[in-house]
Amino acid sequence: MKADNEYEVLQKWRDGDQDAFGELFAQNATRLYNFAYRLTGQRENARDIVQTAALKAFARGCPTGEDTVFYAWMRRVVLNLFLDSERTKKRAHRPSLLQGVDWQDVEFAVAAEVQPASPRTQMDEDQRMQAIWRALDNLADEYRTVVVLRDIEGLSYEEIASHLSIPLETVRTRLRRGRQRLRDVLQPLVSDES
Amino acid sequence: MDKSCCFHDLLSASLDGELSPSEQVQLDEHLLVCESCRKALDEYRKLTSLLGGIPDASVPNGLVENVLKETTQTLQANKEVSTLIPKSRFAGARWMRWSAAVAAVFLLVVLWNGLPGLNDGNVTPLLTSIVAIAEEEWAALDMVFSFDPSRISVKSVESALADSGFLMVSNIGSNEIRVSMASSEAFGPDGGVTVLDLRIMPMSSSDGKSSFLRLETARAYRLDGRPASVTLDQISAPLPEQSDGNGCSSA
Repeated sequence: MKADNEYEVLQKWRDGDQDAFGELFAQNATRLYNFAYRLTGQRENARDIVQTAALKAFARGCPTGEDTVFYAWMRRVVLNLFLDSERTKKRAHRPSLLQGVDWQDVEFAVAAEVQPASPRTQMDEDQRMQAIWRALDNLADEYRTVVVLRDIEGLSYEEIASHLSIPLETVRTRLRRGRQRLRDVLQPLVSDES
Repeated sequence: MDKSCCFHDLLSASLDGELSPSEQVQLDEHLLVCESCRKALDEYRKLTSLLGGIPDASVPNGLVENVLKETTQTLQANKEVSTLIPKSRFAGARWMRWSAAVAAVFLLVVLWNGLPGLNDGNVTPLLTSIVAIAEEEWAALDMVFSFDPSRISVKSVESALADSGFLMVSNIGSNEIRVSMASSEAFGPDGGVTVLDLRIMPMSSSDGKSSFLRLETARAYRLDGRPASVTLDQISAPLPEQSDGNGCSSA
């Protein structure tokens, strides 16, 4: 949705046109779902969180700020729901990120790329993405959340600190550790020697 | 990879321009002489590029439709709940959804209200109950009723769900009543449960069988703050003649 159009639709919602919310949500559903999916690593959880977030936001009503960006506003609702849900359940109990994927194949594909004789083009793009997903999924929640917010959502350290209610230095530390672990796990994908 | 290099911990923040100026200068000087850190920095750049390039998954079928449907239903429920006092208490399918117990109470009320002579001559105070019919769980209810002060005066508002853990705040104004009630535990779904009891004093005996309260707004919420669909209705019964000192009889 173009920014000026979004402003107009937000204004409609603010003026009492409740259908405007549906229009805004439909326009932003893909981004919101993918944000939730990257946080949770589970399609069902992501779907539930986005759906709950949408209804919660709808019940709360249109934010009053003139400079409101619908996606950023909704993203925060999604993030808060995710943080709430993680507080009440242990991540260890949830099933793997990509159920049904034959990980032996993925391991083979990643391992194969370490071999100098194996050109990168032979690695199926889907498998590369699965390897990245798996590495992200295996990060501890506290690291994965800041990595998603910074490297995928593009938030600043200050915004992340504000969203998560943690000090700036903690953002920096968690991001460093998260990236270090990802770099170690994904060495075949990031190293020039591959 | 030499992770023991004391500059290694600065690499991640340097990617984001989040180092202090002095840290950045030190790191830049170090990178001129440390191949390991240069290589690591390059790998971090590739890593962030990979993460930023993860393609979007498609939205599950029905997600957008479900949200639109639920918001539409919420709007519809809000419209319904704002016209909750039915023109005829006996009309419509809502009556059929009431539990047998509530129906029995209602029958008793009708019989009682119909006893000859009960409302003749003297003004009889009434107990009016607000009944909630919920098809899903709810945990909070905000209601605003209006009334005509030339026809009735409202003596008291009491929660009928205190034993179920509901806290209530009410305010009786000159021509309206505001009530909020909430619990930390979800309630319902229920075919019909009394949530409020109001003592009402009609100004004349001719009002003995009328509905007095008009529901202006009502909002019901689930524990997670999402709107809940709750239908409200009112039933009234004359109070027995024991005086409570406030001009009302006690039930």
